[in-house]
Amino acid sequence: MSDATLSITVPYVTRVEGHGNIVIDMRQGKLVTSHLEVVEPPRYFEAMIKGYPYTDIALITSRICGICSVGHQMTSLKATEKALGIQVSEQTVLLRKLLVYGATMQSHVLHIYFLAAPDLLGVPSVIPLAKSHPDAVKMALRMKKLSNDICDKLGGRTIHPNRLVPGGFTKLPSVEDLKWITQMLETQMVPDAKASLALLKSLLPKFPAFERGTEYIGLRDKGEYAFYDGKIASTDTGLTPVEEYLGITNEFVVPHSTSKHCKHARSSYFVGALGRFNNNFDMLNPLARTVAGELGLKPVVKNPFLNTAAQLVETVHVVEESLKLLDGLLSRGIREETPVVPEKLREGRGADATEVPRGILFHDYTYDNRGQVVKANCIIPTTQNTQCIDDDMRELVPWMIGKGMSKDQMTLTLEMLVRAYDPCISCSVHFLDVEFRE
Amino acid sequence: MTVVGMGNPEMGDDGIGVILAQNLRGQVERGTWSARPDILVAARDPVLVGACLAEGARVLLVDAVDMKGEPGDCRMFSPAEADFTARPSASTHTLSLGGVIELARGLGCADRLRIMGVQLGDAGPGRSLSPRVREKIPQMLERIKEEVERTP
Repeated sequence: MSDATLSITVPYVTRVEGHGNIVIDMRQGKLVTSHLEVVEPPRYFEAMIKGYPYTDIALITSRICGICSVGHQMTSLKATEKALGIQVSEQTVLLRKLLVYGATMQSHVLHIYFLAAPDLLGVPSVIPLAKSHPDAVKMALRMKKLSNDICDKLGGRTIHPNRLVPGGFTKLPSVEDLKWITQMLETQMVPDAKASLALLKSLLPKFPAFERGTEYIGLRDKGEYAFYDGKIASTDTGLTPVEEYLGITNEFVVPHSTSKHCKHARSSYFVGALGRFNNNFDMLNPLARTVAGELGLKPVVKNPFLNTAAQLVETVHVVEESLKLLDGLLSRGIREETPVVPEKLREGRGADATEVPRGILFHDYTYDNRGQVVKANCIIPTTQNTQCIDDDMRELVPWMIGKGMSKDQMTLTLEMLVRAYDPCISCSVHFLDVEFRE
Repeated sequence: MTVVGMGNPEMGDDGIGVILAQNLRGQVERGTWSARPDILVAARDPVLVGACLAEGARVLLVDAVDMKGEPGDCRMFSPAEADFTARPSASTHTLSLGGVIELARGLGCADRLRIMGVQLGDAGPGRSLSPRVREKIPQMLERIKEEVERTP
């Protein structure tokens, strides 16, 4: 190993969103480069929304992402409401949580089956699985469609929902909609999730047994596994109020990536399903806890590849949580409500966070007294994970060499690592601050 | 039958599939059709087409295409009649339409898919439907109606 020379370049990693390259360069046993290069251009959403009224902001910023549009919209609305002093009703919070859970199911199912499973089953994409594992593919399609249908019924549409506004909903789901979701979750999603467990359990030996401990970060809330609200929890440093997120993210720029990188207590930290799982294990619902046990997951899970397994645990958890919410909503009935509007526009700043499928998402707005944005900041989960991916690679390469892997095996394992983070590379690229030396 | 509208209405004519599906949904809800197809706005998520096919539905996918015709021209065709040059791929966001058709072939349900392609004229960010496509919407709706009514 001490004399190893290795060069691996994977241009445009597939089965991830956006464009990123893996670059590994080892000379005479010394690892010179181990990077995920993000090559997407910046998108300037924070600059784009300056001067826009508070009513438009969530609609614009949800366009940052197609798959996490619910999460962006939710985080944006919460930050705006905090800045302008808008208190939403309990019913609004419950319906929003239900929507977040639907979006989480949708994204996790897509990642587990369409993006990660092909690696575990030794095929280049999900397409060959239609012949080799038709029942699994049909199940994945069924789960994905039901998740989409749930989001449609609650948000008006799955991608960029149009019923969510500051202060509430423009149109509420009917009692029939909620009964339908309950029935479908009970009769379809729960059995499919259990069948997914059997499949994933059979694939556990295919996950690389690589471990690298790091700091895990996710929201943590009182009384529930946090997705919608809470404080920032770190496995290293405990709880931090969301308003102090800049002390957690500590963004910095690296030469090889248009995405900023982040670090907190260590050189990097992990957000996503494992970030949440490692901070919220005690809050899992009973069936999800059983699934975690069946998959051998117990905090602190240090294998980044098992982020996909944690996603299945979370899928089961949000199904259980949705059923609890639906039961409560149906017991009390849906009350007609109009969105709350601020009594008087005022200057203010609001920073808030939501757990979206890929990890903790921050939006932070400052408004003037006309209710127009004067400053904005959005920090996306993949931005927070890029340094962690680089740090994983730095230890993974020697680990793979030690295992005697071929270059092809190493290349695939590196790609699997990037895919395990379920990155949304386009979203990770936002406004780059540039300082010129005078 | 399930009519699935695809496209992005914020990209000009690219959104014609979604606009037609929304229009049809309104007509069906008003009871102006004898047939009552399921209507799904899949927007930019072709995986939902695969999901409908896998469930056993016959699917009419309505989408903007470039077939070198006049803007607003329509053509009904089966997947076997077309070469989906977009390579089958998957991202965090979705499979491509070509990928979904390959997936449906693998599952043995691609023969339940028909596609109504609408020749786009002008597509791009922030644009609305071009006049030549918009003026042909009534004929497009008739074509869909005929297809739905003749499908068992």
